[in-house]
Amino acid sequence: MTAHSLTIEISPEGELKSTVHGIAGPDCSKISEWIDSLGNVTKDEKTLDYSKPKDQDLKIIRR
Amino acid sequence: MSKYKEIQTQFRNIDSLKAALTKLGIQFESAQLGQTVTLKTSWSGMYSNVDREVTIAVNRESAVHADMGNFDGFGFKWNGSSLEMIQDHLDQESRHFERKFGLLKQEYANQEVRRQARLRGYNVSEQRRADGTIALTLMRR
Repeated sequence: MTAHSLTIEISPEGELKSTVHGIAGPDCSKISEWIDSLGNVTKDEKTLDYSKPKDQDLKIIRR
Repeated sequence: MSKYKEIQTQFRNIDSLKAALTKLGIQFESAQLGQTVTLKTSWSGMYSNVDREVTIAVNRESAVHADMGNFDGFGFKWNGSSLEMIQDHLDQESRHFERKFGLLKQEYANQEVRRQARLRGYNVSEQRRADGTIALTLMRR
């Protein structure tokens, strides 16, 4: 499994926000599947990084 | 970042709920698997209120001490998919209840994420922010 990380923020109201870093495509969905068991999923979005090829590292440079 | 999710926490794992209650210093009684414990009401015989059979019971004294009760204790009962809170509606209207219940959900989520992370071989680091948010970073190499 590719090295990756997850960030999970839990608010004082007990709501969760999670993001997956360092992995793209369907593998990313599999990795974050277990998070759904924590409660009712109210938002589930793929970001731009989801579709990038595995060996591509995108950088956005604003000038 | 490749995936973003928002989740409303539900109490689905009894061990994580018990760990959260313990962490918050709330004393409770819990039933063995497939059994129940009695949540006694102080309104018995009045307004048709009766004692309830639940999975986890927090008696009135502990509930008052935790700022989550006044008239009665509270409990959790398995409804087939999650542990549902059982409480007198008057206690739910108390000014402290919502905030304390939020903190219980937060600590439950913290315990449950850590339990799941351990099973999956993640290293977990924690940061507590000024606004009360707990930020967990799960790393696997």
